[in-house]
Amino acid sequence: MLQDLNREMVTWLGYLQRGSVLLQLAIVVSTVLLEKRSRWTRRLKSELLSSLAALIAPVLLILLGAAIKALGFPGGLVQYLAMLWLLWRLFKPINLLIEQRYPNLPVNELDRMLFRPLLLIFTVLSFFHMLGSRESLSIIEIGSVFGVTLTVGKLFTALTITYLIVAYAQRPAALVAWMGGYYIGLKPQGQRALEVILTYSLIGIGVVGVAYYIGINGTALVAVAGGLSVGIGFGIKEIISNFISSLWLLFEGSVRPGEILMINGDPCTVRKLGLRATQLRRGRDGAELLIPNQNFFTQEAESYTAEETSRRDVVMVGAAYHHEPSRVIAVLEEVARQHDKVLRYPPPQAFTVDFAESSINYKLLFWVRNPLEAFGVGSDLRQAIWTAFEQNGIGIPFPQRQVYSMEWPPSKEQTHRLGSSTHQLQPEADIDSASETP
Amino acid sequence: MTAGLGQAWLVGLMSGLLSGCAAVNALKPPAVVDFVRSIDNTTSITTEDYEMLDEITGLVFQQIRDIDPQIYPQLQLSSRTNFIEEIRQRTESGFGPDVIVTDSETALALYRLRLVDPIQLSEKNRQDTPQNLLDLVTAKDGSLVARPVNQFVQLACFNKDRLPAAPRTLQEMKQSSSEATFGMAIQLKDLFWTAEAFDAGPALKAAMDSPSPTATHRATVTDWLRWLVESSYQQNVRFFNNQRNLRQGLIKGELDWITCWSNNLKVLKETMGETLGVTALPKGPNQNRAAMTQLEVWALGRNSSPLQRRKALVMLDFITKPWAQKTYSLATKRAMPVSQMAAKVVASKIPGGNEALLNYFSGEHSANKMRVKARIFRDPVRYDTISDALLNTIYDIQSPEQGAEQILQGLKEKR
Repeated sequence: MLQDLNREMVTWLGYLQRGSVLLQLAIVVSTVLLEKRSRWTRRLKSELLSSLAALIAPVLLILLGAAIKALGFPGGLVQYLAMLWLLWRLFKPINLLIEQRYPNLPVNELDRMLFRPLLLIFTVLSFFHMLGSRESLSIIEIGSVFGVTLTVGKLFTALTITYLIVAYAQRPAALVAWMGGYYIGLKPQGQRALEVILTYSLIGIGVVGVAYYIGINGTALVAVAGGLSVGIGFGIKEIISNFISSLWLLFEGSVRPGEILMINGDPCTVRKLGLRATQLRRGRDGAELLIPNQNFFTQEAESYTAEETSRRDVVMVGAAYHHEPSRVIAVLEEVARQHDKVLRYPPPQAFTVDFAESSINYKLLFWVRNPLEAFGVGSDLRQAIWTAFEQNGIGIPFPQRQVYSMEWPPSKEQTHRLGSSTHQLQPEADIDSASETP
Repeated sequence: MTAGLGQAWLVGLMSGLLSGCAAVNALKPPAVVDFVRSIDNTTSITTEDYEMLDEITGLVFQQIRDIDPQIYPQLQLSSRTNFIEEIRQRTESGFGPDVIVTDSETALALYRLRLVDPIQLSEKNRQDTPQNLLDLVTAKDGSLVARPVNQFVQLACFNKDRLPAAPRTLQEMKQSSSEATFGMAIQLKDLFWTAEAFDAGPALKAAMDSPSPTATHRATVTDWLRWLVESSYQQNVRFFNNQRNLRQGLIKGELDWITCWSNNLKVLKETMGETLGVTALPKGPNQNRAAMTQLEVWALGRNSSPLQRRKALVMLDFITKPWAQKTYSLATKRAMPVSQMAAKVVASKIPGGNEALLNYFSGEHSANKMRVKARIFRDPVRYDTISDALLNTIYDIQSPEQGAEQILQGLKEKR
């Protein structure tokens, strides 16, 4: 392999001994540098005009190459490099024009994933063809895979096809999934699952096809599959488990983007259902969580959006003993009803839940539409309850403690007063009663 | 004592100068000479093609480097399909090869497209090469477009198991066609031997030179075409597109007899072993038919730097020296050298060599035949005229009489 590669490289070095090649390279490089230094195109206000003006230099270079050829000198390299330059620069105005006319088209994605890779492939193939080395390079042997001799040409083709399959398998799969939804009424989560399954099926078929193209026969593929089974059994079973779980969850629709799940007591929004893990955003602090899919598949999950999205929350409050509970309950329910985000149905309800040491405790239950808003609504209600209690003269009691200074060692009188069975701990005569403030 | 000291100084100075010169020589930049060789391969180049060619050229390149270490010859292969277009694209970009190894017709075509430079050959250098071979690579404007290096001889290859004795005449071939399957390539360069067998050369020459062809000439050409048509009617005579398909047919056992070229014998021998039989092509009414040969030539590309051109000429000069011609012909046994001196020495060792040797020394008659072939083969319009007429006649689109008229008129019009 190295010997063959060396042969080609020595030939390329030989081209650099030619004045015609060096001159052409110098023309192209100096034109590019000159164009970089002159900034007149940047002064144009319109981005489209600016990108169109950037085409002038490569077009002029192409014409210069043609003129050199017309004079009987080699100018093909100038034309070739200028054409690549022109193609590269054409992307921007074309993208802008498409974006203006069809704003919904994913132009940037097409540009990044299709046009530019295709230009790269074209450049590699055409450049080596111009050098006369494409065929020679393509037959250079790299090594042997499953008894099949792998050449540079085969590897390049295999990688190109694999890239195209991986990059674009999703498009036809999405189309079929959409048709499934349109014609046979597949639910959105089912469509998404179908899309994922079809995408990976296409990739699988494509990879097997590429393997056959390289020359790896069915027996070798079975051997690979056997090896993979062992690998799955020992090493990558978690990955497969997560993958299968993701498909199941997609079909089931229990975990889908927008879903709100309780993770360790915190409500989290599902952002993306990946094939290995699910990405969630924790409402409390905005942290991004990545949780393996099999967790949802094998462990219980608390959802606020599985069937309906409304969530019940609670506000605890205490009122003094001397207020009539029914009046307090009425005030609490009225406060909840007044809040915009508290649902009318199920109606908010208040209950007497405890006769505590210093207060009668009440629980106000209310429903909100968006589970993530429950925390904020609870805060609003607590403020509103304080105001309503103030207006209605309802006090919120709280325990008070008083601290007495003591002598050490205690005097006889004090010891007698504290330790006597008939005289339990009492406030001193000159201090007010230590009872709780009403 | 003083004289001895002086001598020692002189020796020291001389050795210093010599070692200095050696160092300067070592600092010389390598002259990479890019060779492109066209091969008769309709699909794509394979590793085997390179391996086979390395065996042939490896020895030559190594000995050239022994003579001039500054030369770094690099060989690339290119299939004959789109060969001219590929050379055109490379030359227009400045990446054209320094030396193109191909056949005489392709070299002429490249010259017409201004893709190769003519070669200036001194009278002394011309002497050892037969003039009729130089004619094959002389353009209409008189320029020598390439230098002949080898001649491949056209032969008959057959399967000895199926056909114990190869037919020696066209008549025998017709008779044997019930027992064995014969294959021929439907290209003018591969079928021209049949024209020679019917002695159609003078008729073709007359068509090119005389105001109107005579009835005898017309009859000769018609006889040739009629034989081809009758052959195509035979159950066991098949026409293929090219030599490669013919060879594959013989290897697979679909064919028992084919026309072949001496440069392809190695492949056949490797696959068929002892069952391969090689003999001369059958003779026709013309018993004095000369051996059919195909010239391999070296042409100079147009993009070379002055240094590369100088080194390319050194290599060209080296490969046409009688010693090199003899050595490499004997080493490969695939082609006759163009050097007359070398040809005499190696003829008996090359398949078809003794028959081909007649072309070097049989005088004006043989030279005339070669010139007729050269005039037809170097003119693409004439070549296409005869090729079209052959195809149309073999495929029954026109009668042999119409085909003969088409050939003779076509040659005359381009006179």
